[in-house]
Amino acid sequence: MVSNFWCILLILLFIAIFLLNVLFVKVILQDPSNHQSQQPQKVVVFLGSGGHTGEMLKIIHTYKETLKHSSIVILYSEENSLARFKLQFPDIKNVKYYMIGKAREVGSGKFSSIKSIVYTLLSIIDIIIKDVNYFVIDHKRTLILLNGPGSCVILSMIFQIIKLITLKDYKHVKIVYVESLARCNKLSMTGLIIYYMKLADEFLVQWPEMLKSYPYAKSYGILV
Amino acid sequence: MEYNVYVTVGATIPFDGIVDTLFDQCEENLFKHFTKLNEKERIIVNLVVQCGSTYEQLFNKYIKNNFEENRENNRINELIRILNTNDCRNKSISINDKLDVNVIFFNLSTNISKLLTSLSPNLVITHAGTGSLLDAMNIKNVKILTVVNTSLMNNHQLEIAEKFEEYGVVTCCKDLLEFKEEIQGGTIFTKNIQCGKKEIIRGFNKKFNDDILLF
Repeated sequence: MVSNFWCILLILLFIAIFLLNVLFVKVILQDPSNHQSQQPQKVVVFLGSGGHTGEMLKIIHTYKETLKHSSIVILYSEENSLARFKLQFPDIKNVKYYMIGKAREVGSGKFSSIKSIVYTLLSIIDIIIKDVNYFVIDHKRTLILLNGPGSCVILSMIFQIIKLITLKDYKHVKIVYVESLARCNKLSMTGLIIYYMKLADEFLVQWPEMLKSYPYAKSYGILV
Repeated sequence: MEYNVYVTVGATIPFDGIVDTLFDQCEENLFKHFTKLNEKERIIVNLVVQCGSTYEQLFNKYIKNNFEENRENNRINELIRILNTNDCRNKSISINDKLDVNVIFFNLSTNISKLLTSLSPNLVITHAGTGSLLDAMNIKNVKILTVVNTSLMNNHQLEIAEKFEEYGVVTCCKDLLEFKEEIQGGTIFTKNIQCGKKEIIRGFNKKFNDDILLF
């Protein structure tokens, strides 16, 4: 009985925070001045693995002019991805690197998946605690770029929670998920979860044909 | 006449099957078709193959002892210099009085875009990974032949290969068997008739930049 009570209280608390957040953001924080076309201040990039890293590096390369003045954090789950970033962008200076766990190895079973998901979650929380200043405090224009594997689900969830508790909306923290180019008809499992749980503020597919099936997505054609 | 070929099997999970299929009995298949490219002139083929970590075994198996060494030339040395890697084997071979082939097998290179600019391949044979396909699509006047690695999770390469084929930018082989038929039939050099059916737009997109990246 006692634990049930606390459970309900906790849920009510969450709902209250959510409602307050909506109220605060949508009503009180209404900013009449239009701050369009400002470069992001912070950019968090997640490098997945193999092809996902390749796609993300191509996006950074193409939009380097927009991103290079920001303070960048690279999250990676494979040493190789980091090496590729450093090799391709030796001139990007204002950048920090953090390694996070891999949410799911390709072809791994249920039990080991759960284990690795928990490990990934803990590793991300650990990094956020270590660098609270960057991740939690003082979000003005923070861009979070995600592309690829399962860790994106956890990352987008965590950043949504950070948005919630710091009372920021997408004008301050924008979570962008770009579905892999390899997906032409159906979303990946990661994509599906992020799409239906609305974990991303901008959900992008790279083939406009997919908009028929996923009307809430946006498409700007091939970005990589 | 010079004819340049670039073959890539990918880095994350190298698709050795492409190299095996391409060089299996290559004298009767691949090299024979090279001589048919131009029957009047002498043909020099530069064949650069990214093989992944097994490059040395593959080189020993198909190239090392099977052909007579020809004298080295500057072109091949230049290409090796651009590759900028030690994990690399090469041999210049003379197949007959009409055909010389310069072969380079290498593991990985961080300098692929420069290599492609210098080599300027007439034909690219690639696994159906997005990175390699996009690299190939940057080349002008090239025939791209892509082979789907069916052993990967959910056969996920098939979707993108068929999509690009629909757009007319690549010729797609759904498996190694189809690839083998292309080689034996000598159709690997002929351009896709549907070439450029739909336009693929890439590069800097101002709308994406303003709507998504900027605040």
